[in-house]
Amino acid sequence: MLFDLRNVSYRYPDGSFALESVSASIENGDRTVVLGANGSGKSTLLRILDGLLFPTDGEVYFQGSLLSEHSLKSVDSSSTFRQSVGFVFQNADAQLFNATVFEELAFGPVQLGLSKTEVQERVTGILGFLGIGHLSDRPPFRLSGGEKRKVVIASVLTMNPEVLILDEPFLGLDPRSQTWLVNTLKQIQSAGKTTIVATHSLETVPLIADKAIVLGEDHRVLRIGSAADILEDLPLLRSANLIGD
Amino acid sequence: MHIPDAYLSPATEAVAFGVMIPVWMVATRKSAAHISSRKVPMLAIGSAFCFAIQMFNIPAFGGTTAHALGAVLLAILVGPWAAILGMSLTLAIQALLFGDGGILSFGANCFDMALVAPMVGYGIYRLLCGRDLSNIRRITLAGAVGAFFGTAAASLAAGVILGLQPLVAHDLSGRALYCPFGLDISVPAMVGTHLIVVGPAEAILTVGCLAYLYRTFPEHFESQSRVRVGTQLRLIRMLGWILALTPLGLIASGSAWGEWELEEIKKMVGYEPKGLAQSHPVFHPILPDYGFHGMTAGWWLVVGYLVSALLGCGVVGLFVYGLFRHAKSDSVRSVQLHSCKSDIPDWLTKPNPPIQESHRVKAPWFERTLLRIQASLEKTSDSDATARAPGFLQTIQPAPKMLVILMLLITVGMSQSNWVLSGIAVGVVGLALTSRIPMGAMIVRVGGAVIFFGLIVAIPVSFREGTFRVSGLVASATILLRLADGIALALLWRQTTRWNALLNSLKQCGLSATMVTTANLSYRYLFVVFEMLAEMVQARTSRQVGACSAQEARRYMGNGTAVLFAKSVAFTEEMHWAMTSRTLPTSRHMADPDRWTARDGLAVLTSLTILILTVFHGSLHAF
Ligand SMILES: Nc1ncnc2c1ncn2[C@@H]1O[C@H](COP(=O)(O)OP(=O)(O)OP(=O)(O)O)[C@@H](O)[C@H]1O
Ligand SMILES: [Mg+2]
Repeated sequence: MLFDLRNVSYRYPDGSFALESVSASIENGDRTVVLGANGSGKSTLLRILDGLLFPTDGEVYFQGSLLSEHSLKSVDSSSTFRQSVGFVFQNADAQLFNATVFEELAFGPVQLGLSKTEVQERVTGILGFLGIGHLSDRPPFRLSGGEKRKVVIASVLTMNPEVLILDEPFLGLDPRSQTWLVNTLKQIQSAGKTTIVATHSLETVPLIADKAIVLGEDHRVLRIGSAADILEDLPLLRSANLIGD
Repeated sequence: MHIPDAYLSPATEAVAFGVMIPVWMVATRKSAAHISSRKVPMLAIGSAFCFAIQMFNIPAFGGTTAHALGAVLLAILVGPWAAILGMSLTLAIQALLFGDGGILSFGANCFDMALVAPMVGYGIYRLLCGRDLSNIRRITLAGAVGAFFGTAAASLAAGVILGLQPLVAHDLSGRALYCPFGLDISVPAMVGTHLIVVGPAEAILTVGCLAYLYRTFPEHFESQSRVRVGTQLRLIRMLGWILALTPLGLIASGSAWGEWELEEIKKMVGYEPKGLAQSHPVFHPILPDYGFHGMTAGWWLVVGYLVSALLGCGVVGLFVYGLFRHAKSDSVRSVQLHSCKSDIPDWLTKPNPPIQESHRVKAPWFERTLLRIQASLEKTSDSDATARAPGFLQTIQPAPKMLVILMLLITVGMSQSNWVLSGIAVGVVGLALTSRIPMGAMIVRVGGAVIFFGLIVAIPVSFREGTFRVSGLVASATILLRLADGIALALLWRQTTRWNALLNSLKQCGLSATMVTTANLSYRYLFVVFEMLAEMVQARTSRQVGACSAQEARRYMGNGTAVLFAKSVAFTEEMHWAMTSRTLPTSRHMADPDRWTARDGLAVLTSLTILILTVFHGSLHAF
């Protein structure tokens, strides 16, 4: 089992509730989506899976070992974890912290200890793959919304993680780029990698996922099950406030 | 460099305010004429940014820490007059919100960091930069040299102010009442650290930000068109002169002070600074032989300064060189790229090769700093919650509350009686309890400061000729009590007043509308900058494989500050647009003057009585 969440609750320091006793498990190679209305706790859940936040109650296990602030402090376990899990933030602006797009994309591979030529190869490869080679020398925060999103996705792809967590990756992409992203996800999934995607675009769900976790507005799990079944279940979607009446 | 309240005598503090108030008035007039409304957000974000970088403490000698200022960078970006205001604002937020630096010593702190640093730094920058603002190499080099000497000058000013205290404030038996270190100790301690550690850091930070901003926002540089003559030859000569003259200036004054002072201090304070200087860990790495063997020590000092100035410049030079070499290779690389789409790269469908770990070590300093920032983020939201809670001090209007706190602070500063100081301490605890201030946090804050600052002062005062004396203990108790009272009072004030209300009370005291707007924005941006910083840290964490090495951490710091600043500037632009598009009259939504209630009047009267009684009581004892 890749991820195992046991009764996870999370409260932000200012006291607002974001998750309430969430239990779920994610297997190796799963294609999962996380659905839920605004503010239901999707982003929080993903941040917990990426070991950026730690549950205020309950436990998260990654490959059988407890994920905690303490366990991620030790160099060895944090390097295997960070190496195998990649995270695309919902707010693209927040994720860009390097001076140029090139450096942004090179950051991950450099972290992996790849040689200069390998880093160069990865970055150019991904720039070509996304068709954003012309942006390579621009400062990332001066790009258009969709361009930022592409750079953010690319910056995680260059690390080639085994588990890919994406928070609203379709946000702001033009239709063609959305199709491109769906196809890329499919290719990555068929290479055996795990993907966890939080999204509001229900029409893409059947294309990129078999399994869905639905969070309710009370920050609890409403349903975990096959994505196709859940998309059929209109009363459920309505009670999650995902669709109107 | 932030001097807390109990370190300076009230007279010094008054003089500092006397200098700063006209400076602030001139700066407000000058910058109002010079600064376009578009630059107000820039100034505000600049202040918030300076605040953020001042939180990154660099480890210095003997376990002490120091931090960069950002003053010269701000001066280059918004002009020197506006920078004075911006830095003052930063210092005000620090003093009021975070208790970094005292409230009565605010004037002195502004003198060092908001007047001396930007003026000296900017002056040198303009001299070296000359007419030619198109040459980025020259701009950054001038900025670096300016930043280096601006910081050094500020530390010299701070050292002198501190070092003068034993001379201007001592009791009848000659014991120091405030900071007990003479010029011979405070000046080398301040200047040494700042020449060797902070100056280069400041210069590198300035260079990094300038170079990056020049590439990202060229428009901010084009608008600077005021000109002074300068040629390449002059530039080099000037640089040489500045390098050569600075240490000479220090000898001239240093030896004079040194000799005159050893005698003075022996007479007045009654202990040998020599032993202190030798036992103080700060000096060993800088000046191995420091100990006043006549002129030799003076010469060592000069050599030390000269070497460190050269070292600092060398480091910066190398950094500038590296920066541009790096930038060039960037642009070469981009030529080979083309924007057509290609197929999924091979490696993306395969697992990663195993990584080599051997070169990675932990960088605890880096991680500590990040923790510190996160902690202070939480603290600010705490203090706003307290300000909204129903409590005694919260019910007093901001303006009378300011008067009350200021009068109590002056009382504390002037009082030399442990009884009065203890009485005020009890009163402060009472006020804190009735105002629902979290006591745990208050004890930690006050206790921490008393231990940290206090022991440095208290031990030399009470330790004389090898033994502890009762009179010494009493004197050090006074200093510690004063420190604790000052910090606690400042804490009471800022914990029970919201920033908006506080600004409003300052506005009623005659603060200009532009300043109020800027301060308001600055405070808002502070959270934005912090939020951005926290996000950047999180983003990095999620892609950080293992711990980062010390070298990586340093690189990240350098890069990170530049990006953070540029990002904030880009953000303020959007924010400014958002404000313009909704046409919010930015300066007009401040409330009208508050009406005083009986309670306000009573509070002011009570503290005035305490002040008068204390002064009267003190003068009874003194004469
Ligand atoms: N940094 C924060 N501090 C305090 N509360 C927060 C913070 N971030 C989120 N919250 C709160 O936690 C709850 C869950 O937020 P979260 O971002 O996980 O929602 P989400 O499901 O991702 O929503 P969306 O669909 O809008 O992205 C919300 O009620 C939100 O207000
Ligand atoms: Mg979200």
